Order: sequence, then C-alpha cells, then structure tokens
Amino acid sequence: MKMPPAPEWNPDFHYPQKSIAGRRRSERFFRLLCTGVSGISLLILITLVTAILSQGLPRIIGSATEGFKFDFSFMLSMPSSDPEKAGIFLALCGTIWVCVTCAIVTMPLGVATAIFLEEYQPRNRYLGMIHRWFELLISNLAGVPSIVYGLVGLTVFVYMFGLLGTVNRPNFEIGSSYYHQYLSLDRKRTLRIPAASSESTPPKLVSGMNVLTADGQTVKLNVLESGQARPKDPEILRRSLKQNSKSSVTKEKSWYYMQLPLGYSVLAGSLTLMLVVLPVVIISSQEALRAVPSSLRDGGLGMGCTPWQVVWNITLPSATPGIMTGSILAMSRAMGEAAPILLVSSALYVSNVPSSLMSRYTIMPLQIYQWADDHNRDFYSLAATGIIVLLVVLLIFNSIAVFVRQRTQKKIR
Amino acid sequence: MSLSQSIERPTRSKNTPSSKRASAVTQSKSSRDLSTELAVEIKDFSSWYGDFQAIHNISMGIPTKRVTSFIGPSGCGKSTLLRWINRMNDTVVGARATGQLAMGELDILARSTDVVELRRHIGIVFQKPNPFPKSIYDNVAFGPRLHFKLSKSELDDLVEWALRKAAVWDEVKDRLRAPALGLSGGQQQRLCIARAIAVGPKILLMDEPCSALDPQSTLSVEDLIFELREQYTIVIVTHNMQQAARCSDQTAFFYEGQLIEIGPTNQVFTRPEKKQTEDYVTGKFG
Repeated sequence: MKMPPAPEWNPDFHYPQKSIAGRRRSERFFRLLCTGVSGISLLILITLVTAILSQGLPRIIGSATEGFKFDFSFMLSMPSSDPEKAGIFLALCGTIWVCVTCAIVTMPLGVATAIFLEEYQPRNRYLGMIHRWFELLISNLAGVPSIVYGLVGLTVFVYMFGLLGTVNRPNFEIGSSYYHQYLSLDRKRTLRIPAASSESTPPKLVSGMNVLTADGQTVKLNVLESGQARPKDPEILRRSLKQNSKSSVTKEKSWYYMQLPLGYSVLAGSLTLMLVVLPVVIISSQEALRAVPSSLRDGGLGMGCTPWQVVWNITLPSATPGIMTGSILAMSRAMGEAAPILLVSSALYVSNVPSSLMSRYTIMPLQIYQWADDHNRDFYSLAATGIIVLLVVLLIFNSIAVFVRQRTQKKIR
Repeated sequence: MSLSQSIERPTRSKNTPSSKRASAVTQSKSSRDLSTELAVEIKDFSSWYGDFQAIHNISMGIPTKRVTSFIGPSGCGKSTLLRWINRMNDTVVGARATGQLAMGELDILARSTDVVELRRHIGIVFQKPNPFPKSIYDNVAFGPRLHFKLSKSELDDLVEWALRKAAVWDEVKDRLRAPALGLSGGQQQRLCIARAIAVGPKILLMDEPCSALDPQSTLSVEDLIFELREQYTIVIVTHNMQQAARCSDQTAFFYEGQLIEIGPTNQVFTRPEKKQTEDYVTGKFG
C-alpha cells in the first residue's frame, strides 16, 4: 500500500523519510542470515547423528545385507578383546553406579547451599561483601575445565594427600578382614586362618586347630610332619597342610567395606563428579529460588513463620520444578564427563561389575574412548554403538526430567 | 514475654448477605470515639533506608478496636511505618529505626522481641493478594498449623470460622481443596485476610489492600473491614481517600515522612486543621 508522506496531513512531520525498501532489504537479509546459521548447526547435528547411526546401529539392529534383527547382547556383555563379543555392560553399570551416587551426594549439598545463599542473605555490609564474593566464586567454579576437577579429585579423594597411607595399604578401613591363606595338599582348596593385619606373621600350624575354607566352613586342620605319608582319604587330604607350608595374606571385603584414602573407587569418582556439577546445581537452584515471588515470602513471614518455615513450606515447594530440572540436566552433564573420571578411575582393566562404593569401575565415555583408540579397527564401530547407548541413556534421563517437572508443576498449580 | 493470649474461639457466626453489608458501609461515615486504650503507641519514631530518612520523628497512638487509616502521597512513609509495626522491615537491607514503638508493655523495636511471636499478634495483609500456591484450605490452615497444636476437626472449624469471618466462605465452601490461585483477585485478597486472622492476631495491618482490585472486589473488602472492626484493631494504608473516609475511625495524613495531621476521620476530612491536609483531601495535589 502506498501511503502519502506524513507532511500532507501533519505539517509538523516535515522530515525526509527513510527508504522503506532499504529497511525491508535489511530485514530480509537478517532473516536469511539467521536461517543460514541455524541451518548450519542443524546440518552438523544431522551429519553427526547419521555418521554415528550408520556405524553403530548395525551392532544393535543388524544390517540390510544380513537381515534385521534386534540384538541386545551389546548392552549385556562384558568388555572383550574380540570385537564381536565385546559389550558395554560393565561401563553401563559403572555409569549408573557413579551417577546415582553422585546425584545422592550432590543434590542435598547443592540445594542446601543455594538455600543458604539465596534465603539467608546477610544484612551486615561486610558479611554481604563476603556473600557476594562467594557467589562470584561459585559461578566461576562452574566454568573451570573438568580436567582440573579430575586432578583435585585425584589428590583429595583418591590419595587424600597421602596422609592416610597409600591406595593399596590404607590406614583406615571398615569391613575388611585379613586371612593367612594356604593351598591344601590336594591343591584344590584354600584354607584360611584369620589374621590381624596384612603384616601379621602366620601362626604355628597345629593339628586339630580350626581353619576356614574359602566358603566360610570351619574344618579341623591336619598337619603333616616332615616325612609323614600323604593321607589316602581325599576328605582328610583336603584339610591337610605340610608343617612349613607357605602362606599369603588375602583381604576379604564385606559389602559395607570402606577405606580412606578412597582409592580408585566408585565413591571417589562420584565425589569428583560432584565437584564438577555442584556449581551448576547451586546456580540453577539459586535461580529457581529467586524466581519465587518475594510476596510469597513476605506472606509467610507476615504470619509468623521462621525463615526456615518459609523455606520449607513455601519457597522450596514452589521452586522444586526448577531445582529438579536444573539438577537432572546437571546429572546428564555428569554422565557425559570423561576427563575427570579419566584421572580418578583406575587405568587398570576392570573386569567386575561394581558391587560396592569401594569397587573399581569404568564408565561409558571412557569405554568409548578406549574403543575409539584401539589398534584393532573393528572396535571403531563399537565406539559408535557405545555412543548410541550413551545418547539413549541421556535422552531417557532428560525425559524423566521433563516428566518430573510437569508432574510437580501440576501438583503446585 | 507478655504476649500469650488464647485464640478467640471459632464460632459459627451467621453470615450476613452482602447486600445488607453494603448498605452498612454507606452508613459508617460517622467515626466512633477514639478514647479506647492504645493498641500501639508510637513516640519520636524515625526510620531510615540507608542514608535516606523515610520517617521524621513521628508520635501518635493507634486505638484498640478502631480502624486507623494512613493517607498521603506516594513515598510519604506511611507504608514504611506500617511495616515497622510488625517488623516486616527487618527483611529490608539497610532499614533501621529509632524511637519508640510499643504494643502495651512490649517494645516492638527491641532486639530481644521475638518477631515470630510478634507477627502472630500483628498480622499483615499486602497490597497484592499473595495466596500460597496451595489449596484454599491449606492457605488458611497454614498459620494455625505453625502456631497451635490442634486436632483435625478443630482445624476444620478454625478454617471455616476464618473463612466466614473474611466473608468468602459461601464462595469457596464447595472447593476448599481447589488451588487458591484459581480464585478471583477480590476472593484472593479476602482469603489472605482469612489467612491472617486464622492465627488470632490482635492487630491487622493492611498495606493498600484494595489497590490491586476492581471496584466490586474493593467494596467486598471494605465490607469486610467494616465487619472486622468490632473485634480487631485495624491499620489501613490507602491511596483512596474515599476509602479512608468510608471505613476508618481515625485518619493520619503523612507528607514527606512527617505526620501532618491526625484526628477523627470526620474532622480530618471535613474540618482539617492544616492547609496541606485540606489541599490533599480535597484533591488539590497528590
């Protein structure tokens, strides 16, 4: 539509007019620019996903040439030197162990810190200065490269500055028991005598003394003097030892075994990951708390709530969806972190699924890294399959986050 | 502390239809006598926000079971004074006050005064209705649950009593479990008043309770003030001079942190002593 210039109906507007066509052109240009830029990022994403799917998917769903069939063995098998048999089960379990422990440790700590920073702000000027410094520090911590946290975790949690002994000879232990272990004369059974520590000397062997078998049964020991013939009875043979048999000390760990320093354990890994995600959890929780209108707090205080009652009854319930979302997103970041865990998980080959907080472990990103770095090229596609599994797990976690947020929001509204 | 006071027993009062109450409001123009004992006594009171002095040396009394209104242009310190009466200004960084603010024997400004207990006795209703994101029932039951040990049925009675007292019972009795945020603005504000009186306060502070409401809801809240004035000491801050004239017994006019004039509402509005007051109440400025 062609509009007459303004001065025709209002002589006050006698300024020369800017070209409308020019403004339209710049508008078109900018829109094109935006479309182009987002197109590029979309393209990168599509390339990435296609590459990974084309390499990794055949291991799970089969291929067109060999016929499609679902094969979940990848998720359920242990690492192996044979690419056909290798699977991600161990790393998957490790990831779940580490992330769940990390969440349990991080959430209360992070939310409590956020509550302290947001709801108990000091009124004193100098304390206020310290408070602001503290907040600044925490937001800076969120930007520290995770490998740095790996180093911190290594010194603080894994070695504990070397103050409490070494990783393999900890000074502090709970739930461990030591045994002098012998191999019986039939070479099939281990016989044990409880020991005080790893350094204690084995007792003198006497016939008739009680010893333990590996599965915990008590049997009577039969000691052969030098020159004495081997007993014929296999039952006696099984609990017989020579007088000067060599023993070694073994360590049995119960399920609640705990040692300091923590060593290359699930707990050390979780605590290190906690360092990585704690600033993120604190900041997102703080933001969620800040979003609660202050009129609600005033309402609570105005009817005689203590500050804690305001937090517990009003602020926290209103902020829960935000806190949940932030925390679960932080957890998915923890799940994808490889760098810090690279330092605090043992570089040794891990062969058992973690059974306690003190178990050694590996996690999916590390396993993927290991496969991608392997000399055997066949492992490459395995790395891609591993990435698919990792992505799916992350997706599941994020959907849980969305679901939880929706539900809590519904409850509040 | 000399604050212990048993809560007024919830009784099922008969709810007057709102049409009758509306007519009552129009008749309330004559203010009642102000010679009752003082609920709050203010002496040489000054207040600062940082370096800015918001209130200059004010002395006045707030009579028991009377409605006192604070009027004056924005920024004259009337809300600040109100918020000092139950120490809500404690939450404001940099706010401080000198002088005396006494409720009976109790020195409100004293460091040793327990604000939690104080605020149970001096309730406050804010400008914007601020029901908690809970159900209607839980909103009203929130305060009693904090302060009293009561059984389920006692709590039910108390909630009903407070809602009846605040004249919202008829509107919400069928949906007590529904979210309070689903109510209209006027209903929300009356719910907030119910919430405030459910802990049994002696004094009710209202900080521009109607400024966020439409005329109809304003009328319902004014009706409510008219009902409550028999039992509670009410202090109301308002920008609306008709409102002050309609529902208060005593009016205090503030200007730039000074108390310019205080007296029976009739007198302040019809025969003000100061020129400034006259200019303000007749709408020449402000």
